[in-house]
Amino acid sequence: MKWSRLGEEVLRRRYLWVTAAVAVVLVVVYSVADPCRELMPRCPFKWLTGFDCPACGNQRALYALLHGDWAGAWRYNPFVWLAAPYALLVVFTEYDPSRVARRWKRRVQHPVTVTLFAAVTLVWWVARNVI
Amino acid sequence: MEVIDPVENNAADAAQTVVTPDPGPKPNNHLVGAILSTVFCCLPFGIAAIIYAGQVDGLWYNGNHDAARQTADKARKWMWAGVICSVAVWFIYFAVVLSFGLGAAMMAS
Repeated sequence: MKWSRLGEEVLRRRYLWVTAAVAVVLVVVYSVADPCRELMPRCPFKWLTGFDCPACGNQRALYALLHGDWAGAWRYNPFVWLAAPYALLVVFTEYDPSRVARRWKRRVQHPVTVTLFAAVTLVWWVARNVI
Repeated sequence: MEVIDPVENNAADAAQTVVTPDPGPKPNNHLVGAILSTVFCCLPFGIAAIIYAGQVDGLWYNGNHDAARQTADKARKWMWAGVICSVAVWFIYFAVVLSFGLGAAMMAS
């Protein structure tokens, strides 16, 4: 039986199991817990300054997405629907042992890409509080 | 955008008289940690960490091994600063919110 080979492949993709576990927990929690009503994490930055941070609204957005409210999912935090996939791409290109991951890494983790992402984050942070 | 190719060793280099020291392993750019520290609420340090982390790979594949190592160290320091700052802020936040919450609950009963 090639169990040891299977075990190797499983260990090589530890990042995948960790990410999947986090995703499952998020889906389960936000399917039942409404961040507006239940005792859920609040934003320290908003608490300290009164202004929104780039991530504010992401819990309500996830709750809306899991309950079919597509408009709400976009309205509460549009930026997170760009940031979350990018973060997943960074994790994939950083930890996945395949050749695809290594090829994509040069583009996904390229200085221009990363600076662009940081710039969009900053612009969104300011713009959402000003507009 | 242009794709950066890694520096490739070939036979011609070995034939030259100038010996370049072994640059060592490519430093980790800490991009994952930088993004996480930004998202978990330390924006100023996190953004700095992200920007430094992004530059590491470019410097390394252009041959600036020392600069890449230094930038990777900077990225790591800002990343940990962001993580510690996030943890501290969340800790204070929970301490205050919980104490106010408990205090209010006790006063109400």
